[in-house]
Amino acid sequence: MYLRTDAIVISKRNFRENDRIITFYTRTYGKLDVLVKGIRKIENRFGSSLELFTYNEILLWEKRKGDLLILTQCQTKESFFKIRSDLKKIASAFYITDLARELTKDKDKNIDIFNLLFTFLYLLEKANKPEIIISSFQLRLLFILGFGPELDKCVNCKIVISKNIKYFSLQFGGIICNNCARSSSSNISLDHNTVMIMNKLIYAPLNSIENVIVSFVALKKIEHLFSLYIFYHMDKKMKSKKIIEKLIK
Amino acid sequence: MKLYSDSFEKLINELSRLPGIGPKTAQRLAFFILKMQKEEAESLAFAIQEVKNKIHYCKVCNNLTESDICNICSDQNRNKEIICVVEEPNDLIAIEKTRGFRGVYHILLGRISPMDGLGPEDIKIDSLVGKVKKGGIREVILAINPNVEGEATALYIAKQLKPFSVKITRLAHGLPMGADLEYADEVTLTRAMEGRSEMFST
Repeated sequence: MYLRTDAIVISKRNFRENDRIITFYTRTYGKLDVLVKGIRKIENRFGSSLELFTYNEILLWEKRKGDLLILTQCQTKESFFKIRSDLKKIASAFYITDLARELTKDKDKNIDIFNLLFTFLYLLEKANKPEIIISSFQLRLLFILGFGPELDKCVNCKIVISKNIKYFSLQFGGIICNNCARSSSSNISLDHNTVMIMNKLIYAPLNSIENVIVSFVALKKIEHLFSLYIFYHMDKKMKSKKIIEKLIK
Repeated sequence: MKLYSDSFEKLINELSRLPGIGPKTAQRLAFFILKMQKEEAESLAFAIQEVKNKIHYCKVCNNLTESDICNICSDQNRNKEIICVVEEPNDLIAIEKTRGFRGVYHILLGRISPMDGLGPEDIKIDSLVGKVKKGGIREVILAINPNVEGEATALYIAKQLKPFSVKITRLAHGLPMGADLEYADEVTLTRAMEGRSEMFST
């Protein structure tokens, strides 16, 4: 059976002598592993269309249900190749696609994730502050996946905490009031200003994410919080994170 | 039920660790080795042992060599002012086959690939920076594969070498010989157009 869909390359690994297995995030089928035969030969017919971050229309062949899919045709719609001329942008795009790869399940269709990935690669290509773009992507992805943190009221007793925010509970997944904080075992200290920034990163219109005013320190704090949060709830440690930080430095 | 003797099974297991060799092929190879003349089999075993004992990385460029310094680095006719940076020893062989390059090499033994957990420290960038810092280098040619990981590696190296007065160049991107324009992808064509050259340069 042939399958046709739009897809973004999020990962690749070599397979056998001349082949490669490409992981796509597709519009119609979610995350898919696809075998591409002969791609490592110089005269391969796919050229650079299967490089990381590329957005393609692809045609796949599935011999029997459950078999490894084979790529038969591929047409590039957007290569995002300006990302590749800037080290900061490449590193940020690595992180975005790595998050999409690590935090999603195979063959679990989610068009919102596809759209998010596409939009943020597009934003990254034009970005001046890639670090803000990846922070916003991370938060929005967590919300789509159903792991979005509570940032408006106490996650436990639902009382509205105005400016007196002190803690974020990893266990309950959100900000927590001082009373409830005593019964939560995994609290991280967090101030009102950081929560405000996080809210802006989630809800700011796409064309003005970079206008969110955020200091380097606050961004670091948010990054640290979400590394812990992702590990606590999804049992994933983003191994690419440290390397990416070195590249961005 | 045990199908093979211990030693034969061990040979199959060892062979199946090689790339592209599955259990079936490993079994076929093991039978082939069993049928070989004793001297032939010993010669194969000896060759494997010898390659592991003798071959190591060149202290200067990380090329594979049997002595401390490889043939290329110890060749007096080579231009030591030009360093060509490649990812793996195979890439060096590919460039050497062209016979068009008379400088020396620096092999990174990898590339930056965050998704595989490989960062700048995991490849030999520091020693390259050290060489350039020492002076006497006129040009560094980055002959790194033209993919995203290669771009990241090249940009990172260029950033590290920027403070030193050295010319940093990259191999041209474009159409391979014998290619068909119709089937070239957009990025390759764009790069080929950017890197076009004058036919009758004065």
